[in-house]
Amino acid sequence: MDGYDIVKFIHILAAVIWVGAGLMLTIISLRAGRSTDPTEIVKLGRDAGWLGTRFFVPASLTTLIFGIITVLVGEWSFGDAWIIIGLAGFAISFIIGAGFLGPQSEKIGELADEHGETHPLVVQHVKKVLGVTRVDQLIILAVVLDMVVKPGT
Amino acid sequence: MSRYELWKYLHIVAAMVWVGGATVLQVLNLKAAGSGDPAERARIGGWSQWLGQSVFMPASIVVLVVGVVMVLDGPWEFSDPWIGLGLIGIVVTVVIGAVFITPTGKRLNEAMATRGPQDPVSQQLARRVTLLARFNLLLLVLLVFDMVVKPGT
Repeated sequence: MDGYDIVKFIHILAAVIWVGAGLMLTIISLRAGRSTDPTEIVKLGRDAGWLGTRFFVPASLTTLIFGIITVLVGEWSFGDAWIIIGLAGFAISFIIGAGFLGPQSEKIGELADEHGETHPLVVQHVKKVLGVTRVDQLIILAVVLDMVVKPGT
Repeated sequence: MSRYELWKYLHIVAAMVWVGGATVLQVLNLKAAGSGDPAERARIGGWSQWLGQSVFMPASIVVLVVGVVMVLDGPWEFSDPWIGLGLIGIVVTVVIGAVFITPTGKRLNEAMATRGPQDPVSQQLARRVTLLARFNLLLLVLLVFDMVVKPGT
């Protein structure tokens, strides 16, 4: 085991936690969306908002930083097609997260406090945020595929 | 994309759901415990039981089965030390989940419903489930380490 193995392990573990946690929340949201209790999905939306800056942002940044270090200490180049695709996918996901998901998730709590968790406006807002989350996850899953297959190598 | 790469992608995504999902569940458990709200603990506890049977168990089976297929279809041998360690680790975590965590989680939910979340029996079961789940998560992280570093190669 050398330094490359350690940074690669941290990169992969952070990615596993980041992507897996997002997929798990999506699975729970599918169940909550079918629940007869409308507060289920709103509470999940609040959880997602709470996790955003405390869990998803640190995990995604750890993935990015240790991915860059892996390229620097490993046999890879920033000119490799799969690394360019990976960085582009990460950038798109980061913009969606910082530009939409973060602020809109925080708004869930504000709307729920203002109107109540069962208000249709709040439920509709949560569903919109979760819909964009699913698009974001498809992008991230495509990045994972890119990292596994490494097109161009 | 080769057939082996397809197996590898499936293996990794299933591992992400398993490990990342278990991690975010632990984080939400900590949040619920810190809130001091028994209803919040019961809500997350209810998820844990459902996720154990409906998500973690199928994900762990996919990880194991596709992992075995990868060895058969790829350049690896079952006698490789890291594969032996990985197989033992998966069996141990699945057994802990099926034999200890799931039944204790069921008893916890029953105790929460009949005795209430503040009852000493409920509290003791909640502590036991949390401890078991954290131990299992630690094993999963070690499994990821084994799979990434591949000791003995």
